[in-house]
Amino acid sequence: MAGLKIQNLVKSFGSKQVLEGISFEVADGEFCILVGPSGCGKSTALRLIAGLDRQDGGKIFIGDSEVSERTPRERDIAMVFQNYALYPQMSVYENMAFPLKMRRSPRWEIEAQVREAARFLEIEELLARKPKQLSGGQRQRVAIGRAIVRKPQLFLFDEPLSNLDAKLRNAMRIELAGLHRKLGSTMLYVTHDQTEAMTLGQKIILLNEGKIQQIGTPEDVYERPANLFVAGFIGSPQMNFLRGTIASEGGKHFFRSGNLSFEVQDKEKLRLYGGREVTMGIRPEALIPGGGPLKGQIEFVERLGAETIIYVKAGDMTLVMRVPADFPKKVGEEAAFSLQARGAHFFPAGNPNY
Amino acid sequence: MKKICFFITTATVVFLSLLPFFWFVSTSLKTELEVTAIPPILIPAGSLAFYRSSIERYDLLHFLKNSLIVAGSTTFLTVSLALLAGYALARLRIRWRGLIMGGLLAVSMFPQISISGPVWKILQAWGWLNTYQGLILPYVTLTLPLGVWIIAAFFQELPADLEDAAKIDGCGHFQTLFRIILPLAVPGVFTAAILIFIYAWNEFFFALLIMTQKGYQTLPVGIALFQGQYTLPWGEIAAASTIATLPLVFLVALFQKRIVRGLSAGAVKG
Repeated sequence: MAGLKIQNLVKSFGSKQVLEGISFEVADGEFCILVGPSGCGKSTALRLIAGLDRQDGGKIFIGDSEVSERTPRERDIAMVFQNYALYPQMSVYENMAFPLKMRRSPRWEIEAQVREAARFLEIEELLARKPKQLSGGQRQRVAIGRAIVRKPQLFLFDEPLSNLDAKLRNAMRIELAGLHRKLGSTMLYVTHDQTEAMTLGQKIILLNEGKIQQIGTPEDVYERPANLFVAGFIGSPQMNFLRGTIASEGGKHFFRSGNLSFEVQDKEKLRLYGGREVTMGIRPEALIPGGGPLKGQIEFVERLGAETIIYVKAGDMTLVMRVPADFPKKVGEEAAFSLQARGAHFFPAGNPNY
Repeated sequence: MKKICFFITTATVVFLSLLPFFWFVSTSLKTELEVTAIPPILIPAGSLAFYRSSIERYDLLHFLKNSLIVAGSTTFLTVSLALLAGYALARLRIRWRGLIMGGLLAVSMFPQISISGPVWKILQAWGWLNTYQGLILPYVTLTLPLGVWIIAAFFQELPADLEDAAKIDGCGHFQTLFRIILPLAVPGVFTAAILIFIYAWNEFFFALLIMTQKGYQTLPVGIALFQGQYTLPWGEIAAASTIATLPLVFLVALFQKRIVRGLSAGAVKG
């Protein structure tokens, strides 16, 4: 096993620059998530690291050695694909044995490794079957099996759960976390799903338009988003964005937007924004029902069982809030809310839909 | 009503296409007297005399051998080349890919007569007239566009992830092609192979032009030359035609499913 280091990776397709010089590190044994909306360059980055495409500039290190110019086979990596990419003409056993066979491992060793991996993934009874005869979840297990038999330096996952249904996806997510715990391998995992990123990652790298937006733990990116993009991308339902100004009066700070005005807690950062246009981001759970400065009319109520999401018209904006399941009010009624400082974030004015 | 119309149309088409085939198979089984009988006899007595005489007097097996050599080699060479070219055109990042594919298609549209002169001149200069390679070379050239198109279309249908997986598992380009892609492309390869074989087997014009000596002539030319100045051996021609047709019918019947899959490869995802 080894860590991964990326330095200033650049890649263009035609005149479109997909990666504008990204750099990051994945520590030995770390589970790192590369997340971003589609077209952000995350899959391109993964393919460059795998050696499937060639970068236009920058360096890739696996462990202590630079692999930038090496072929995939020389990089000692394994990759799990979104559509599994199992070889249809081969049985499960042959699929899992294939990388070892290409490496010319002795037959007894191949047999032992494949059996061990199959036992580990609980797919021993499937070894004789063809991929066509397997369900989606089983196929993904086999694909993971094919990756782990060779004990690579680095695991790459390219949206491995996207083709599974929601229930299976949850189950596999837990299994993947378990797999990482047991193997302790270095893993780089690409996804567009922020839930996967938050639940699986020890480190999250947010990518948008070919640039890294933030690198941090799940807690970092949720509690301390570096910019509007990160704030809007992480968290579901999405953070509320309000444009307004910060006014300071007598040591207190007020956020003003249209006919809305309320006090916001004194944060270190707010001093910088005094009197200036800002975008304020409020997490849906940071709005607490009952007796607060924010008032509005309930427009829509989504009862999800464990919790309730409500949409409140305040001034000329609609705020989304996460409230307890037993929230009593109905559509059309007035509601008041207080604001928790922890879930409020301020950004220099920009496009809130960014 | 719709069903009946469909049935009648199908039956008519099948009947019309099979009629000549039925006619010469029936003729081949007639006796000398039955061939010229008026009104014609539909169900012959079942004599194999014409088969014997076409083999003994007209050297049919010799033409059959020549045809097998020429058509077989053409198929093998064209498919081998088309595999490499088709893979490259389907998968590698090649400049002017569209132009190359279009060019191939355009080349295959040339009427044979327009290239027969130059081809003959070249072969004569090389001393390749009346040699197997002298016929195989133009056949390979003429069938290659078709082969490349069918095989490239088939490769394009296969998921690209499979090749990426193969590369990561340790395959080079050739190993990827032969271990992973080729086994999956078998239907496409079969389709191309059979169409090419049929072309080479049936081709008449170049065979007549290039093979002037009896020793190298293929079946279509051989059979056409059964006819003497004063004789027209209908029975032997029918018997020879039956023998020439049977391998094709057999091949197509055997691989029918695969051919259909191969031909529809571009249309629907398999």
